[in-house]
Amino acid sequence: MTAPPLLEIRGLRTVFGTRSGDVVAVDGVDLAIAPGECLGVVGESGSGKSVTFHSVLGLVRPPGRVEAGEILFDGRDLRRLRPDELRALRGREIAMTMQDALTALNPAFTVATQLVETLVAHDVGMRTGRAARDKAIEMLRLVGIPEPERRIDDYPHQFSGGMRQRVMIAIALACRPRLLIADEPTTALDVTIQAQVLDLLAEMRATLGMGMALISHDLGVVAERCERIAVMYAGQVVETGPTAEVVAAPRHPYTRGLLRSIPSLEDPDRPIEPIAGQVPDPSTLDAGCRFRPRCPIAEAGCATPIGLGEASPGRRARCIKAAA
Amino acid sequence: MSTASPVPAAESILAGNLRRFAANRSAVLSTLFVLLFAVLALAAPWIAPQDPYATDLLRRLQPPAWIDGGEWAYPLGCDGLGRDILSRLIHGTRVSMSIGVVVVLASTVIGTVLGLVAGYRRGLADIVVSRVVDILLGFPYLIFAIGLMAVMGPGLANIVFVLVVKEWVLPCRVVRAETLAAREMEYVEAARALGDGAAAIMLREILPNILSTIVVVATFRMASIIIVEASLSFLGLGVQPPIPSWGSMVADGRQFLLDAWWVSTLPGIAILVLVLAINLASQGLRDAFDPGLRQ
Repeated sequence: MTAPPLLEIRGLRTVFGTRSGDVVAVDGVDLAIAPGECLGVVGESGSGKSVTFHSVLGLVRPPGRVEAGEILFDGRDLRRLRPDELRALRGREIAMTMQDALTALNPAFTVATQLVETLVAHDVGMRTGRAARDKAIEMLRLVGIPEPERRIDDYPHQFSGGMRQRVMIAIALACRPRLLIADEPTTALDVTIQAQVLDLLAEMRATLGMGMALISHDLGVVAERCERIAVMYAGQVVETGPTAEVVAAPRHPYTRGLLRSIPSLEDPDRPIEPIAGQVPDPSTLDAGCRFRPRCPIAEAGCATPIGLGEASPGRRARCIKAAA
Repeated sequence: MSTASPVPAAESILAGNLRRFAANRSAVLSTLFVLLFAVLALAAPWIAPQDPYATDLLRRLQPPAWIDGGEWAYPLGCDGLGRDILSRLIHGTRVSMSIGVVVVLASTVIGTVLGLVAGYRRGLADIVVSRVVDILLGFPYLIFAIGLMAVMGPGLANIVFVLVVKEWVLPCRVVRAETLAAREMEYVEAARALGDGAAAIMLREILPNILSTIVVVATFRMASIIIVEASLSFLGLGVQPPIPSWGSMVADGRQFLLDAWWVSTLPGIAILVLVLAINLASQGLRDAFDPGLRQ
C-alpha cells in the first residue's frame, strides 16, 4: 500500500460482558482500507466481522464495549472523538448498510421521507423540500430503481427485497460517504439479485471513488469484487492479502478449508470438503491458535500464541506454517 | 390511473388502520355515541333545558315526564332539591368527559416519554422508571386515589392530578416494552449508523411504529378513568357540589332510592352507556390498529 490508509484498525479488542465473565468477540484485529479500495471481510457467523465494523462506528451497545485498539479514519482516532463528533461522522463520512434489507427501512414512513431526512440531517448543501427531494429521486435512479419519481412515495413494504436493498444503499450513499461498510449486503437476497446488488456496489464505488468494506460469509461473493481480502476466525484476522493471491495460494489452513468447501466452476467434479468441527465457543479460548482443534495440520507448537506474521510481501497469515 | 402498476397503491399505516376501523359497525356506532356525549359536553349550556343549579323545592323528587306527576319541561324529573335531572346529566357529561380527556392526554404523554427513555436508554433511567412503575402498580387503584384525595382535599384540579399520578404507569409500561422490541429492529440500527441521535431515533424511528398501540391503550384507559372519577365523586372526594357530576348525583339519590328511583338510576345509566361506548369503540380501534393485541 502506497497511499495512507483511509481506515486503519490497530489491535482492536471488543468484549461483551456476560454473567460468566467477559466474552472477547474481537481480539486484536488489524485491518486497513486505502481510499477507493474494496476490502472483503470473510468469516463464519460469530467470527467478529460485524462487531469489528460496529466498533468502528461506535455502535457497540452495552453489555459490549471496545476495550482496546486504535481506529484511525483519515488519521483521526475515532475512539477519541466526542459522541457528537462521531455522530456527525456517521452517515456523512462513513456509512453502513445493514444485513437485513427487509427490516432495515422504517415501515412507518415512505422512502421519500427517509431519504430526505438523511439528506437534511447531514445538510449536504440543502435545507429542505424540493432540492432534497430532487436529490433523493436522483439517488434512487442511480441505484437502479425504475420510475423513481413515482416509487419515491411508496412505503418499504411495497418494494421487493432486492429493491429494498437498493433503497438502503441509496440512503447510505446519499451523503457521498468516503467509506461504505456493506454488512452482508446480499444475505437476504436470492442469487440473481445478489449479483445485481454487488454490481451496483462496485459501480457506486467507482463512481463515487469511495473505500468499501464488503462483509460476507460467502468467500465467492468477496473473491470476485474485492482487491484485498481479510479472513476472520473466532474474533481474529487469520489471513490477509491481495484477493487473487489468497484465493490462488491460501497460507492459512482455515482459508484453504473455506476454499475447498465451495464448489468450483472449473472443476465441477472436485469433491466439496467441509471443515470438520465447529467454531469454538469464544468463552473457552486459550492463547494458542484458535483454529487448532479443527486444523488438519496442527502440531504441538500450535498451542503457543502466534501473531499475524508476514507470509510473503503484502500477505500476512496467523499460522506457524504460513511461510511454507 | 392511466398507467397500470403491479404495485398496490401507496397506503400509509394510518390509512389502512382507519379503513379497517370503518368496516367495523359496532365500533363506528359506539364512536358516534362517544361523539354525541362529546357534543353534549361542549354545548351543555345551550342544550340543557333548565338551569342545572336552580333549586325549586316545590318540584322536589318530581318524577320523569312519562310517569304520573311528571311534566315535559322536566323530562327526566327532578332531584331532592328540585333541580332538573336532565340538565344536570348534560352538565355532568362535561365533568366526566373533560376529566377523562385531560387525564388520558396528560398520562399518555408522560408515560410515553418515560417509557421511551427507559426502553431505549436502559441502564439507570430504566431501573428508576421501572421501579416507580412497580411501586405505583402495587397500590390498589381506588384506595390509592382515596388516600391521596383525602390528603390533598377534594376539587377538580386535585382529581386530575391524582388520576394522572396513577394513570401514567400503564402507557409507560406498554411503551417501554414496545420500545425494547423496536430498538432491536434493523432500521433503528441503520438510523444509528447514519448518525441519528438518541432523541431523533426515539421520536422518528420508534414512536411512529408504536403509536397505534399507544392510541389503543389510551382509549381503553379513558373508560376506567371515568369510572374512577365517578367513584371518587360518589364518595364525596371528587367534584364538589353544586357542580353536577354523575358520581355525586348517584350518591345524592341513594336516600330516595325506594321513593324516587330515577334520581340515582339515571346518572348510573349515563355512566354505563358512556363507558360501554368508549370500551366498544376502543375495542374496534384495537382490532383495527393493533390486531396482535386481540385475545
